[in-house]
Amino acid sequence: MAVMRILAALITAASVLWSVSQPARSEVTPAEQGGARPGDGNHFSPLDQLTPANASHLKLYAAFPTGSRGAHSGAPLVMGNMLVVLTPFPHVLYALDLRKAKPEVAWRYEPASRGMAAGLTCCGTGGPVSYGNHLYFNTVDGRTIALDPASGAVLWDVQAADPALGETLTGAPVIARGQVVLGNAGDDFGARGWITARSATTGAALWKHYSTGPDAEVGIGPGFAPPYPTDRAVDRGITTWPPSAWQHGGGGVSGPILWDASAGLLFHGTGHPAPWNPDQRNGDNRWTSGLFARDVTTGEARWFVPVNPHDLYALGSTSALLLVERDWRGGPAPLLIHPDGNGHVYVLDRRTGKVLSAEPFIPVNATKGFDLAAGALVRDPAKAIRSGATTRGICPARPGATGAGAAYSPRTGLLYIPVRRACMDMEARDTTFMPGTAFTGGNLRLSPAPGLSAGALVGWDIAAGHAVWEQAEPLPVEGGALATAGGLVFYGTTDGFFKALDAGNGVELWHFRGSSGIVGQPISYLGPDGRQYVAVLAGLGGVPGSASGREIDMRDATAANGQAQALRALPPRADGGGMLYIFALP
Amino acid sequence: MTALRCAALVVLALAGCKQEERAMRLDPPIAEAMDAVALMPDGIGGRPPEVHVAMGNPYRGNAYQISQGKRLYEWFNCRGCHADGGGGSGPALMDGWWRYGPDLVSIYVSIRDGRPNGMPPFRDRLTPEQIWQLTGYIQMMGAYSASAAAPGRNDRMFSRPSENRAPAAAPAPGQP
Amino acid sequence: MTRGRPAEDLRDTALAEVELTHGLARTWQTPSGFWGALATVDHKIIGRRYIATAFVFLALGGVLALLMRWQLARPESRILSPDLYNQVFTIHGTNMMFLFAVPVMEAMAVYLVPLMVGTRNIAVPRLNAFSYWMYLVGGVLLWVAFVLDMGPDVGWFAYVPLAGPQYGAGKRADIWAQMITFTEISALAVAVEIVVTVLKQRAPGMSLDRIPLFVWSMLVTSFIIILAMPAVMVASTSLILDRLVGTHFFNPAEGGDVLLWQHLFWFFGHPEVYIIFLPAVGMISSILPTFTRRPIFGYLPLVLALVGTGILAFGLWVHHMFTTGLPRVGESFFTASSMAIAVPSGIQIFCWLATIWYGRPVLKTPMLFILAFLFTFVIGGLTGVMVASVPLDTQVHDTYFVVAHFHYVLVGGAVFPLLGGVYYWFPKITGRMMSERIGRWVVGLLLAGFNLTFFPMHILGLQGMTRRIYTYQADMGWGGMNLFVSLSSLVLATGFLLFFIDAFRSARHGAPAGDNPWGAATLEWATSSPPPPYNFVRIPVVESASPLWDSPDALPVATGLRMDRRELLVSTVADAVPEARESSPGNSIWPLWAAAATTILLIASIFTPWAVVWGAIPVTIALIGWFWPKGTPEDES
Repeated sequence: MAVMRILAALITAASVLWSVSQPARSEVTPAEQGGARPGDGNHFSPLDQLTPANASHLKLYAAFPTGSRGAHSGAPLVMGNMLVVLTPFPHVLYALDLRKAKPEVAWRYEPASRGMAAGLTCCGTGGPVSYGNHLYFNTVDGRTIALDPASGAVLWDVQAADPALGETLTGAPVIARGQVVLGNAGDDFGARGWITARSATTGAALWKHYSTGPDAEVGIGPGFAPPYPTDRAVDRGITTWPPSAWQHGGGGVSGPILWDASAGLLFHGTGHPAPWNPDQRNGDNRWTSGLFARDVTTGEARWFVPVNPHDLYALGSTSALLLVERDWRGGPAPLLIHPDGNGHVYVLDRRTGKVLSAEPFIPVNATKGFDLAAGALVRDPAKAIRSGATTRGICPARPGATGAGAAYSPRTGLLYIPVRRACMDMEARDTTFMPGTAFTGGNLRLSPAPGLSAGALVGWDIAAGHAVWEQAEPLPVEGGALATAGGLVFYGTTDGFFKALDAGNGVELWHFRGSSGIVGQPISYLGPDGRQYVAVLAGLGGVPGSASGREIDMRDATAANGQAQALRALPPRADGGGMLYIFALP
Repeated sequence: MTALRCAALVVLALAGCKQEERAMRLDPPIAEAMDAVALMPDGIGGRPPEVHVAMGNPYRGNAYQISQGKRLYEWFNCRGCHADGGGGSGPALMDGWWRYGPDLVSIYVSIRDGRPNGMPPFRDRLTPEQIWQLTGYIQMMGAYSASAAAPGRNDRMFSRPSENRAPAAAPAPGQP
Repeated sequence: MTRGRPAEDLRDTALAEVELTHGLARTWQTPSGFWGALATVDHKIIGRRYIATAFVFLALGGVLALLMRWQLARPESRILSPDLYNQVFTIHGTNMMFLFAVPVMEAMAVYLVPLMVGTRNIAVPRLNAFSYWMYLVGGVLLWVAFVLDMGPDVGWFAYVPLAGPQYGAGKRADIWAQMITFTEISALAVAVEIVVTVLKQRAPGMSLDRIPLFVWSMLVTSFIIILAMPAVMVASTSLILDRLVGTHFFNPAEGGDVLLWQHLFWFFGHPEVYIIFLPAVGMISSILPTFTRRPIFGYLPLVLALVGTGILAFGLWVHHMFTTGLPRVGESFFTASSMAIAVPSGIQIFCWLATIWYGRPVLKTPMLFILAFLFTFVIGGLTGVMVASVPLDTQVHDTYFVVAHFHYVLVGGAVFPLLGGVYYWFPKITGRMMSERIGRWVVGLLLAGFNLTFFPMHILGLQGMTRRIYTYQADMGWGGMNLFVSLSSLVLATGFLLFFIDAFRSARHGAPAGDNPWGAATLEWATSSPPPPYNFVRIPVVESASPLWDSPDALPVATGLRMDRRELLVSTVADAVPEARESSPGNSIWPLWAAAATTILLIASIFTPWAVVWGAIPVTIALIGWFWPKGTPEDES
């Protein structure tokens, strides 16, 4: 009898231990995984084995060459005992078995690819996501694929985006209520932006809404309640454009898509309008360069906030989005945090879309502050863009002050923003829409902001509205940040360093020099042995942000959309090819 | 004495100066024959149309044709992917490295028919004569030696020294 | 230069007439043969060359004009291709303005001014030789380029951005710009020489109020040249730098300005037309007294009008830019100043009319040319006041109305007086008279042909026919008048042809002229025709503004200059009191070498900027040779 009780206790304990050690299966990607594609965008890992005390002892656990020389902008995914890596275009999907002493390839899958998409975008996609027992990922040439990792079989494979229209997929999909939600990229080629949901089981299209055009196609109906009154008019997606310009108006949903299960809402940003030359698209250019909240089941819009209306500098609003529940000036509030490419940290009330605060996190001169009553930036007319003229010294420069990889730690209450500090000269020229060719109409010449380092990781106090610390970097920080419950912040730099900082005070605790620059998002996971690991993909692919990154001639100051001049300091050896690095304590 | 001088002038006039000639309008039969390149099976290299020889190979050394090519480069969004020769979405054109070969025919076919990995075809957007003008200009961008027919700077924001300042050849130090 | 017998007095005081003239001839002569021709510094030989070269360019430019008229005679004509037509009108304008109009006036000055002020040679004579070679090379450069089908095709004022690096393919505009450099160096050099000659080498007693009006006009013109030509040199140099080196002077995207070109060019360009007009005015003021047999009426107002025109000329240039979108207040100012300059011109015309009215006119060919000038120039001046008004100019800018206007003022205001001056001074230069009979035919044909050719262009311009078009459609309705204009241009051409024929024939077979066939009053008629190499046996002394009329039997002279070396007399600026004997350089080949070295530098710099560096070496060597000190002979005497 006692034996049976002990056995039962043991079994219970074992099963409890086992269940605790297993990643939970839920609609939101496992919390302890953190950093991959969590629905809240916080890039926060609840794992706390690594702390400021022991971070300096981190060692390289494994290095796996991906065999690709492109820009590795995604994140690896941990599913059960597998680590899944998607290389840049043309893609290869690797699954590594984590139970082996040194992770080795369990299987690989290589989808067929359409080469013409290689010229349309620079980097990879956000990486694979998991839901249930299945694996989902986007390809740059516009396909969304569902795999069964156990058998390696393809469940479904749909052509969601059409490269012939300039559309590509550069973000990771998000699984929400059994739907695979994804948006396209291609603003620079005049592709019209959209967001769509497909069935996770069959891949059938459920709904699709555009970022420009008539209200019916945008998903604006009776439930639409924008916080600022001008957007209540009818068909703003047509009336704020010259006739028919909205048909190739950009606004692609290439950034993070967040999923708030309790509210049943999706949050996403829309990209910049096309072309870059603002004089060819007079008007506010709705619904580009702003933030949407949509109903998850139907995709209908609930509210829209314009962030860069009539975007002068092609910044878009597809940078980081984070869902944060915290106190705000009195009581707890559901917030949407958005550090934008225009250099301001937007804090919005998630329920209504009202902007609560928008403080600049880098020195900017294109705008002179934010008018909270009107909910709009105040622009500096000296930095206006006129077709045929050159405007000098605009800060921040395109592609924006930050990318998609900011992180938030509820322990410290700080927002960790990877920052690009560059200024640009912009010359706008009239351009013609020719499908297949770039539809930009602007020449740029970037240089590091005067007196500052070209990049940094900024520790930002959301409540106070200013930075608490910053870690300067010699080159713009293109990759993402990962915050952990143990009190660390991990990020990778363009010149190939992977660093760990103290999340509270920003002191650098540990770094690793990789063979290539890092533009991807780090993740942290619990291995089969119960230890905490940190993994990141390294691989720069030449000049970051350009499809022909390895074939850029830096003597042309406007090459790679103007970054050639700013990145002359890029060491040539910061590009050894793609590697997956995994770190752990020894 | 005067007769000799006159004869010398006449000879000079007939010789002309191929670099400076301006043919503003092609005769229609010649314009049609400009598309007749004989391409190698793998799409790299080939024989230019026979009329080129009759016209004196104008797309290599004629200043007017090359400057027209430079204007077409502006007008047809080449800058959007290739910048001012430095590349971006598309590869650099000024570094002297040619994925499909440095000869005129390969460049012509790249523009006319497109290439895999994203170069769109311009067959339906430009006449063969215009594509040849573009070809001449692009080849000059990546040339290994200076040419007297090279154009000067455009009236635009400065991006790099113009083609007549120096040959493009040697890549910047440290480039892979 | 003879060393001679130091003990003997070799000054002209002490010598007998025959020995003096022989000695002076030996000292001042130019050796015969090829070498002498290349090394001469005699202002008369260089002046003759200059005049002949300028008239060759006139003939060539006229041929281009006939080609244009042939092309435009019928609608949709195919005689000249568009590119060739562009070259033709550019070179016609460039040639006429830079290679004919200015140089011919300077050439007449180079020949006549030293004679009129009573000195032996022009100041800095080697610079004079250098300037001729530079002018010749500049002209040859332009025409050889045209023959090779690479002539500039951007209009005679080469506006950017058409002439700039983006739109001006090849080397054509660079050739234009360097030709400007050659001719401007030449013009500046001559201007400097004239200023020094007029201010410092005048005959004793020729105070400022006794200077012949032609000399006054050349003095004012030379100052205009010195102040205006640098603007066009800056413009053409900036253009070459933009095209060759990639500077951004005229690139708005990088902080430059397209209008800068227009300002720089027209700041020169408007004074340029006064550079052409004022010498002609001076010629009229010299010819009229002779052919009305009385001193000029209103000497002081005429001088003040010359100076006033010269000063006001610098305040007019924006009237060439009325359609560029400049602020209205500025445009109004320039309308006012453009009309104001009619005042000194009007004063001059009225003074001349008074001279004719109060005199006894002799209707010989030079006088007939002056009457033709009065008729034609006044019409041109009236249309000038019309286009000075902004609203009217906005309508007629870049049409044939403007073409008609400026040909009226240039041909009427400069070419007719020039041809009159040629008929007038031909006897002095060659020693033979031109044919009076043919001269009348020339005047008649030119006057009739010119007015029949250019008057209808006013109407064509008002009907909307734009400049610089190589053809036009038949249904524009311009065909008939264009045909009329083209046929009339043949009459004009015949007049010029007759003129050239007359000049050639008379140079060989004309009636011999004496010292003063017209009975004129100024000093150049006091020496033989053609003048000896030393101009005057002894330097004349002047006691009035019309010395030959007031001392008809014998001119007082100043003595004391040596005959065995080149000496001339330097006098004070205001009252021409003799101050010093100045040595005058002898024949030298160094100006030719310097011109050759500069030519190499300038032409090579069309193709590469390094030419400026390497080309400076031969130029330096040539200048060292030129300026190599040869002792200080004036201290030894």
